[in-house]
Amino acid sequence: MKHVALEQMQERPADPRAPLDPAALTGNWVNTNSSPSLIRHIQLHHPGQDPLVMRVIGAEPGLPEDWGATDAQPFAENAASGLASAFSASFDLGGIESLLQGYVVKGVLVVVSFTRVKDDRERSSSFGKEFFYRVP
Amino acid sequence: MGLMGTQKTMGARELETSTVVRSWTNTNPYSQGIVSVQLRSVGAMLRVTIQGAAGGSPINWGEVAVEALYAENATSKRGTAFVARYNFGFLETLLEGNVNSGLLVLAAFHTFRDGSRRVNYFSREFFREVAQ
Repeated sequence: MKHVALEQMQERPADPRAPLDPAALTGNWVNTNSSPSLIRHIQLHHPGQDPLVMRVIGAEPGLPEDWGATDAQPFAENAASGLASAFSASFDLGGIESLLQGYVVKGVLVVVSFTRVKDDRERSSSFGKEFFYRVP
Repeated sequence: MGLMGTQKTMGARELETSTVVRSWTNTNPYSQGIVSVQLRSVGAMLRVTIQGAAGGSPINWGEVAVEALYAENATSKRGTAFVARYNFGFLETLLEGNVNSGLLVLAAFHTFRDGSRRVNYFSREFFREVAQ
């Protein structure tokens, strides 16, 4: 596949000295639904020059409560931006893999989950969307 | 209308595919990202073809396998979301799509692999079904 979309050909190289600013994503986030289906709490932090790190406290019975921490890849809204406003992260929960994509809109973190069943449990691989507000 | 079918991926339940197996066109005719999306069943697998925007004449990204299909919830067997990945060498694009109220919402996460340190970026676009 040699083709690229016009959007990808038009991008302006970013300043290599300036990594994406993750400030819009970092912090502690709580689900707006007090009875969440998959995720109760998210922590995103950026320790120094290290990658963005994501920790999840889950809510679904049958899955671990503490999903642990993993690297989250930050993304800008466009190729000319220096601000991270979205992320992608993947959690391996043993028999279940959850690919999370998140983006911030007007202070709300929207997390879309693609939870894939890899073993024989009685559960469909499923898609979900949940909303989070930031707490101190 | 899409063809009826099912897909099963690695240990997963079979999911019914007709909600996603359709042709979709961007609700924004001036998109500079993705113009159209086509999903089709090939045997027991789903495949996706993307037409990218290129100044008035779409560019075919080619066809790739859908990595996984997802139901609308853990008890449903109706597939409404999918993940696929394009590898252009210098660039990897992860596509995450879901159908909601007849609309395909497609998020694309673009990661540069060429060491150019260009900014990785994402886009989210909306697609309506094209009558066949």
